[in-house]
Amino acid sequence: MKIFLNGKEKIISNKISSLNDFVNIILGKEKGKIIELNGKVVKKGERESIFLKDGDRIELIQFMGGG
Amino acid sequence: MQNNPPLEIAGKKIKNRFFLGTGKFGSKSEMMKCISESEIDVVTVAMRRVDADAESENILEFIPDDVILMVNTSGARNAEEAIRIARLAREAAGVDWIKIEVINDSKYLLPDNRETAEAVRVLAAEGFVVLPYMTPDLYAAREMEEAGAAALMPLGSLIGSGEGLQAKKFIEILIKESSLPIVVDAGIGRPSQAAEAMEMGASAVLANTAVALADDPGNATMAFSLAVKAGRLAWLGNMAEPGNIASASSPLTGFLFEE
Repeated sequence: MKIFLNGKEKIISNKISSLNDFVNIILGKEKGKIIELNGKVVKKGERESIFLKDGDRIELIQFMGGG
Repeated sequence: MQNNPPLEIAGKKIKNRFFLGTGKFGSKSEMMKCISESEIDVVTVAMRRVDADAESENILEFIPDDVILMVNTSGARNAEEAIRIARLAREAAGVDWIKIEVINDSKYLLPDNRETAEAVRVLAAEGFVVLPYMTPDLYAAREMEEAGAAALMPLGSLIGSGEGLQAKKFIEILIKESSLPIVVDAGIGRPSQAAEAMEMGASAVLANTAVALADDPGNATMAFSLAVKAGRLAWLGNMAEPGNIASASSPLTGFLFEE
């Protein structure tokens, strides 16, 4: 299936179904990282129950140094 | 004995009135050393897209838990984007101190006061502690105060320029006219400039580039902390006004030449 990760097109295996699986595979450690799915913040407890579908837009965001 | 009460914002007591930005440091452990050695109380961080292909450290692991974390909304070009970043910060790490930074001019990086005020209004209503980064303008300051800002962050000069208090006269007006704490942010390149801001009555100063790009950021952070403290004490001391007529420091009578 085709999704968009931080604006870039990405083809992922259909075996990766939940958002939680996807994040764990992509990010490894996920502390301090946050996910937006189709423009909406995903709360931590919701990842298991969200299933990805073709065309989903995922934004992975983290804290960085800044003034 | 010093009589120097801490700055209070949203119920938090802030002893060190030098706020540190965390960008541009050569290493995160260097940054951590600066925070702990100078007992920094407030730091800013930004939020960005993760580069999924690159291994990256989590900056939050380098910031002690008792330090107030303020997330800036850098990258936001309008109120809506700033609001979105603030909500992300809250969800990601429970952060509710937000430095609103809305910039849509890439040459001067000047903040858009109108969009900023709009973001302040929405986020203050959601319970965020909102500190708007702004061009020092009295009307905008009044609007942000009325919208629920916790403090105002007027720019000293252009971001990263190190040119100091180019906007001095206008910051002075905000200090006089606003009931909110004034945190001078941006363009502060030397401890002497930070001291000057504090001497004229600012409540705090934020710097980043000057420290992070120093050869010895630890010493630079300490220098800024001490300068900010010295400026604060000078303000509290309310010293004699400078003048252009000589005035003897020692008594001129009663010794040697008495007739």
